[in-house]
Amino acid sequence: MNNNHNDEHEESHKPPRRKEMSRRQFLTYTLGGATAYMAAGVVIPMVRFAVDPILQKGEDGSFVKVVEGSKITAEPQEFDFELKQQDGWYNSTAQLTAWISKTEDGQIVALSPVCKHLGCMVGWNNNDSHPNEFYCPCHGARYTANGKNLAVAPQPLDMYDVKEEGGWIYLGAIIPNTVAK
Amino acid sequence: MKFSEVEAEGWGELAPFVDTCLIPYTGLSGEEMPWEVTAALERLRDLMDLIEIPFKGRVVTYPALQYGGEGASVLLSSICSKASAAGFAYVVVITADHELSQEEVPECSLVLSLPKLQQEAGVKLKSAVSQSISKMWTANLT
Repeated sequence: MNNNHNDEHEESHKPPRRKEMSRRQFLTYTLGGATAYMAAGVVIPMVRFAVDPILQKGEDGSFVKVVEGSKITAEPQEFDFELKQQDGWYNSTAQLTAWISKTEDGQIVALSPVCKHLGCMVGWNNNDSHPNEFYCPCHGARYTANGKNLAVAPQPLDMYDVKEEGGWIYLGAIIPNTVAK
Repeated sequence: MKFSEVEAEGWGELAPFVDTCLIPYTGLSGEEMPWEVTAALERLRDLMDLIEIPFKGRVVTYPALQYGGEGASVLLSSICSKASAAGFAYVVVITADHELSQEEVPECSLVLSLPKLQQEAGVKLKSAVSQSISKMWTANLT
């Protein structure tokens, strides 16, 4: 009996060697897990709402049907069209204009009329002194049919992303000019 | 561009190119209902779009004179005179609802009055406004 008592006393000074989870750990993990689960239930819908526009699948609607391909000639022609755009949660319709023509090698080019100098709108053949050029009425910037800058403006005219499908020309986002040489 | 888009630091660089000041004139009497005021402002905005968008890099829009009545043309003329003195080569008064002629605002370079523009039969509004502005600019060159 005495021996047993001493043994127990010595035993109590040794560090615990249990391999299984203690009751305290079990409670900590269970309560912590439940708290994290409930917090996630609150936070995840908020995060989902905040990033909603990013998660939305981009519509094919970023391309807009503008004109029949057969109507496009080497001479740039002006076409007005509407583009539905989304800025965060705000949907709006932009009224846009494109000058569409065909290059010598048959490529369709749709130029944005916004002058690269200070943002006025250029027009084709609108100045008698500069025939067969895009001319900016504000400060006299000039561009070729492919949008290459000839005077005043520091860069060529931007262009629209073009897609041909079923005989129609579709225009998409505005991109830097890749045709002007 | 709008006056609020121009910052003091950038004006020195822009000033040689932005030589035209646009003064919108709504000409309200004060008797209008709120929705009538909204409609009047929208008509003026739509007309201003025909200048502000195609000539963005050369025109700066100043705050509008919202109320009209007796003495409005004298006040407009005085504003135009001061805008010219401030350095604008051209000052254009634009109104959607009032038949205003340049004789009534002698200090301005051009008056664009929607009722008057609409009287010119067969002329497309967009091109009429555009031509008036271009004509004003080129007339001074010759």
